[in-house]
Amino acid sequence: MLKMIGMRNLYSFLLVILFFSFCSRQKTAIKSSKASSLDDLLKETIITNISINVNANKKEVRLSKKSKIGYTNSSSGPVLSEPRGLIGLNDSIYIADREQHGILVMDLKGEIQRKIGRMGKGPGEYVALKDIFQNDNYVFTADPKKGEIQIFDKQFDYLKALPVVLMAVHHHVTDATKQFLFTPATYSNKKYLIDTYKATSSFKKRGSFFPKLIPNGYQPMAYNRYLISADAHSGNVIIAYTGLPYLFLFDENLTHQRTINIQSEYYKKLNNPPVRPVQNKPMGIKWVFQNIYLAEDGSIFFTVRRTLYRLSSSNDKFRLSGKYQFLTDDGDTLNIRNMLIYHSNLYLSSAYDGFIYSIPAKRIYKN
Amino acid sequence: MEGIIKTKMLNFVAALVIVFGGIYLFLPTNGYSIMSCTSTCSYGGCDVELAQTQSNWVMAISCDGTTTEYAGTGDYSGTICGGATPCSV
Repeated sequence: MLKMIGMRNLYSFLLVILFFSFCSRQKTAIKSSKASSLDDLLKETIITNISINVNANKKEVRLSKKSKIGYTNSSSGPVLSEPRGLIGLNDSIYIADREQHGILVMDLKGEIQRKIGRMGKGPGEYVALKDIFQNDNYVFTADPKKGEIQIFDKQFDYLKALPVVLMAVHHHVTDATKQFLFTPATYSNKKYLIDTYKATSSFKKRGSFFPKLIPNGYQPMAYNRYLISADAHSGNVIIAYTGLPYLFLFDENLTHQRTINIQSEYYKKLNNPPVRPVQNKPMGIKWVFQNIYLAEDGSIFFTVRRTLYRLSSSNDKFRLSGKYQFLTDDGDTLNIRNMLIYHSNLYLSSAYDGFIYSIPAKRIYKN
Repeated sequence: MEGIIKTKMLNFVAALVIVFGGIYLFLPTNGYSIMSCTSTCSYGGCDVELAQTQSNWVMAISCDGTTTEYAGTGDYSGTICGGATPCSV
């Protein structure tokens, strides 16, 4: 009898341990983000409508030859080839260069000083480097072909790699704040698009958030794509579904603060299909925003076609305060791949010709 | 006799719980088992990207400041960039 009671206690004990172990492994959503659909998201906060007339009142900014930077003086030095991401760090610009399989370090005068990383599949090596981003303590690099985010300290000592499915062409599908490191959610996640990890030394998964619009197996599944930009200092984050005209603002706790609806004739012309399940029929959508960028001063930048827009905020109100097109010395309109504001300068990388331009940031802060 | 069988059954169940529970507990917590490939190429002045995962594919074509994105379930069966096989570019 005693033996039986002992065995039963043992079974109960094991079951309790397994139960708690199972519970601790569940990846729950971040509590502050409750929305599980677009409707939920749109109802969560007030919506600010801002109209942009794509064809009117663009300010043309001429990019002189002098503003084209990223040159190499040494004949054997690394050459800027295919910039895919920019950060400002230690009074230098760090450029993720896909073709160079590494990070080029450029001084503020525009000269490439050195290269970090090389081609390969080991730590600190790259197959197709796509992006670089940072928070206060760490630098992160994203390589879709290698399928991982590598994490470094600010001296570029390698710390860790997180295996993640990434996309290559798109900008800002990953970013980080002090608290959160954002990565695309696994496709098995039925509800959410973004996985969040701790952005400090353990880099453990914290949860998932931001709703998927289309269930797995339905169409137009391309709506389940997004752009994200985070300001590591404030912890604020903006997210946009690629095919919809909304900018969703979250605070440092990932609490949804505001939705901005960018109204334009251009969006109407895109004629994207409605957000509703359409089974077994692959369908395309056109992106509304090519890039979004959250600046340290709280300004929101976004590009539609080849035009850069700036939204500024004061007294918790957003308004359109700038609209710019950048003309290169060849007379072309710059197709912006990445932008960075650092030490009062605006850095723009070109999507197709592999150049970086630098101009004083005040040129896009004039009303 | 019935008691012995019951005890043996319970011991058997306990052994299963311990073995499978042990396996479960020692599984890597982040569950990294990602199968995917991403292909990128340029064609006609456009950037083309195809990402294939275990259950879905997404193709993005970026031309002249406009990106069109297509997506589907299962395996992508076509070619990209004028005939290239995905995952080989």
